[in-house]
Amino acid sequence: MAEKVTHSIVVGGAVTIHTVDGVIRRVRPIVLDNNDPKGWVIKARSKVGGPQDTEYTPNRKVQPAFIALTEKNRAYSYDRIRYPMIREDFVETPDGKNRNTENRGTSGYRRASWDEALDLVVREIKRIHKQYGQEAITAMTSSHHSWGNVGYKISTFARFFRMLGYTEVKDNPDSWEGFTWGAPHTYGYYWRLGCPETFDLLEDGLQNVETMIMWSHDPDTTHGGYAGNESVMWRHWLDDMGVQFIYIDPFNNFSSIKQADKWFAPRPGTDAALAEAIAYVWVTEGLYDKEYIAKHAHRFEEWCDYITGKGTDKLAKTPKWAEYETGIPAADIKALARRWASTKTMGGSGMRAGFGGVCRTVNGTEFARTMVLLFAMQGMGKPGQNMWGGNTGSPMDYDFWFGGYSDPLAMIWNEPIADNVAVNPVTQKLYRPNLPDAILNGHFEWYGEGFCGQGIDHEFTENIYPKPGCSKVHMFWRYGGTFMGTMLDTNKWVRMYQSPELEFVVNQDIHFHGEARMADVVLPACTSLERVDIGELCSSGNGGYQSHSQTGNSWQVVVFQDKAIEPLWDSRSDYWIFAETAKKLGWGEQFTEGRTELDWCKRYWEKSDLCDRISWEDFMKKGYFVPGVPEDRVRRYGFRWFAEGFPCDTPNHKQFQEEGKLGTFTGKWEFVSESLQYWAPHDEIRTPIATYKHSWEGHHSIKAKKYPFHLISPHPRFDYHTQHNSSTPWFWEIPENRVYLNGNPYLVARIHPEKAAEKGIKDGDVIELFNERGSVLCVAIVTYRCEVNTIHAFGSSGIYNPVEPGMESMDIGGCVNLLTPGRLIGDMVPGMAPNSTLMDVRKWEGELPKGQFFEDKLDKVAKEGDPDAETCIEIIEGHGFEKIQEKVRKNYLKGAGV
Amino acid sequence: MVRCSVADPNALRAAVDRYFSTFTGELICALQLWYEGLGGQGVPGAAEMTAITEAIANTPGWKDMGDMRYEKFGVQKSFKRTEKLDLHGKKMIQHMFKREALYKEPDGTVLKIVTSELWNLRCFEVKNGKMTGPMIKIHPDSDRAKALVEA
Repeated sequence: MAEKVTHSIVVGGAVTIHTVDGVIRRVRPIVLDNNDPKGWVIKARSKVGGPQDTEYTPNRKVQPAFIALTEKNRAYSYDRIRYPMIREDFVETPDGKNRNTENRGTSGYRRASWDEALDLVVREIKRIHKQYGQEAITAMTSSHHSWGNVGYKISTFARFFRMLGYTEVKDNPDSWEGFTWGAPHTYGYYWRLGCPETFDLLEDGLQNVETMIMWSHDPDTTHGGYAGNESVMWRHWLDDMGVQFIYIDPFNNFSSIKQADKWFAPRPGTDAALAEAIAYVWVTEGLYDKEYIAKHAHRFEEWCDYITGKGTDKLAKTPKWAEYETGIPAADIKALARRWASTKTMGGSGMRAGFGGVCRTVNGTEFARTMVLLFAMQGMGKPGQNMWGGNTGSPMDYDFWFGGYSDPLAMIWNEPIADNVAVNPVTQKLYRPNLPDAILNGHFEWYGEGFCGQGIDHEFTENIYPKPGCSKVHMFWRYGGTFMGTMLDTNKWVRMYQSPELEFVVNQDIHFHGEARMADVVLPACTSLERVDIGELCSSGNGGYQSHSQTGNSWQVVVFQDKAIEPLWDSRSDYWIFAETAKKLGWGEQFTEGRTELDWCKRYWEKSDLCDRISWEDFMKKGYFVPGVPEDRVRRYGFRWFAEGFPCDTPNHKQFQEEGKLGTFTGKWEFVSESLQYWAPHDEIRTPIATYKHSWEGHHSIKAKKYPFHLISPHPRFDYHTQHNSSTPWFWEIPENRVYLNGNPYLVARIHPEKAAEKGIKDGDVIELFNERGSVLCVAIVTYRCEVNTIHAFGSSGIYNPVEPGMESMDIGGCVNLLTPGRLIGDMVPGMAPNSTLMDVRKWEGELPKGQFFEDKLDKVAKEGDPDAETCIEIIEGHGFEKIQEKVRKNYLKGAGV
Repeated sequence: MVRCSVADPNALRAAVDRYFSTFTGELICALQLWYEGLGGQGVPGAAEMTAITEAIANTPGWKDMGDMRYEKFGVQKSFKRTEKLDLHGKKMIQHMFKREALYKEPDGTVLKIVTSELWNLRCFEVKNGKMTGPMIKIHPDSDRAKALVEA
């Protein structure tokens, strides 16, 4: 028996993989050994009744989220794409017409060899180039379906398409819209994508905080982005020392239910009204830091006039007024405001303190701005007064540099990792949430460059598709994941796929998710456990995209992602797929620069501080490196520099911060936004004074008479976006997740007992969630954990299983994003608002409908490759899962000569 | 409404001089001066912009650079300081060097600064237009940092 131990980073954390005879046996956390550095120590208050000056230090284990521990299941999953596949009724017509595109989503597939599939792809690329030009090809990456600095989206994908030339699709900040489009107009931080800086705030919190405001924040569920579960312990420490936790969320979420001292349940989308009422109490009772505001605030008095009813609307934002909007009793709002103001209070919404489902509503920008202003009123940056959600801001050695996820210096398209920078010659762009609109209508206009972090001015660039003089897009290469589960009104994505405008569609993925089933050619990629790569967790732990991204981990770890097993079936690494295609296009050598994947990994070691700390051989042998945190580290608490008036000393890059200024026009907290007055004076959604507004889809809408419930579809507990739930049938046995009925894993949806009784719905009933955009069958959980007008169902279903794809027909896969509005927050606010969805619900009385049986399509192709192949249902039920591993083991032993 | 009326040339002159006496940046535009130096509120009108622009243009030590982009304000008519301030010891190293710019060492070695933080300039040596060798860290207080000249 040959056991091998390797390491990797996956979405959800760093892991150790135990492989026996070529088969993955166990996936575990990385347990540090005695040669790894000591953990940081924070001296802080005692636990209640415990000794004074308690020392807090992390466990010597890199603790991933539980989803990361399912990587074995994802590798041998029933929905793995085993072979290259070509749509059965695809016709390679010379002009790209008459290709039965209307059958995408329903057609079956046939097995192809790699050569056949890639030759077809290359012929189509050449045809499209000749017929339309380079810009007629577009390509788009997933929402995080894999990991690794070499073999993933911002690296190998970007290198290939930059060299090929393509119409880039700009990403919207789909998880934190309101903070990107709103908060910078209040305090800058556009380079942090609208989120605050939370450096060293774990120590500040442990030493000073008395109240935590967890507003639309469920850190146990969203597990710190990629950071894993390490911050769970930090919040337990706070709990132990008697810190009061107040959760504000229409759903008494999974963190709240175990920790909240008080739960407030506002009606969805009305949080900005609640925030204004808190401000009203503070302004009228003088409960704010007047000295701080006098020094650091801009046009505070005008804002107070608005709050107290002396503004143009003549409406005082009293707790009573907010009670009407939010459903929270006025007395509770007053008590919340007074508690917040009378204790040292930190808080935030969602991951990084600037995320959360609340900012994915029509009022998202106004909530985010008001949230920032509330913390400013209490002296943000002073000890114990800050935006911090208890899941970021651990100590870190900022003097150690290794390019984390999305760092521009850590990508193989760019120097210094590559010798030659790959530059995309095409300037035409598309915008992700509206890609279907652009393809279907042939025209789309929007503001902004997505979440580029490059400047406030970049929010207001004017874009038009097709760009004058450019061709429209006719070929789409989709890479990983499924936006059917994460974008909005997603039936339109299906209609886009079925449009003849898209003459050729390629999908490159590991699993046969929703969008893979729409492609003409499907290319099977392997998991990150089946290839080599290199990655970092900590700097990139809370989402990457920015410098020292908030340190959501107790341990920074750089991992040599060694190959645990060989690629399963005919799957290949993403790098191999792109390199092979480049070779067939005639520029393979330029793409690879003569390097293997392992050579690229070594480049990261050579071009970072890693080479000063550990030899390449030792790094590969050990599998990971922990730089540690110096005992004499310098503390650099977020916003302390601003509160106390010294030049910014946190890891930022802006000169105005060094001059003691925020990134607003005036350098101060802007209670009336000068940047909005300048850039968007006529924007009715995002006004210079942030104001609570009636949603275009909310309880004041006429539509509410027909669809009286609010749907909230937060980021999921049993997934990272669409990546885990769909491929891990174990999760379907968790009653809080899905219920397996009639061979289908139905998503659960939660409803308040009062409304359930009105509708005749009992716990465990099959229910239909519906509105004019579509309908989804779920299983009811009747619970007081829901606000009374709210239906809660986690978004991001990787399973999309409609009765009839693309129509407003019923889905049985739990893809509730079919119900959400595709409309942008505002004409000038290019964000999306899934939590501004109205719908109705009814008990499902009929027979359970049939879905698309997409497993049959996989089974057919699998049998073409191996007549003895396990079917999807056999794998789901377990014995097929074991059979696959046994076959792999036999092949391994045969290859090893055993 | 402004705390300093631009209609009064003397008051404007005094306010601009007062602002420049503490301003350590290298670039300035009328909008920045309006908000930061004059306490401006709301979008300045054309007359106000013209008056402020003229005031900057008439300030010794600043030259007209034409249109340049600011992350906050977008493209604005800009002025650049003609003489470098000696800010060593007063200013953080990260703001004394431009990211992505080339700098020469006394021995002729050309370095490209790829990122800069409070603690280090991080560079690569550039040969034949390519970044080569390992990442070089230069401490902000070192003589090596002070000797770098923009190439």
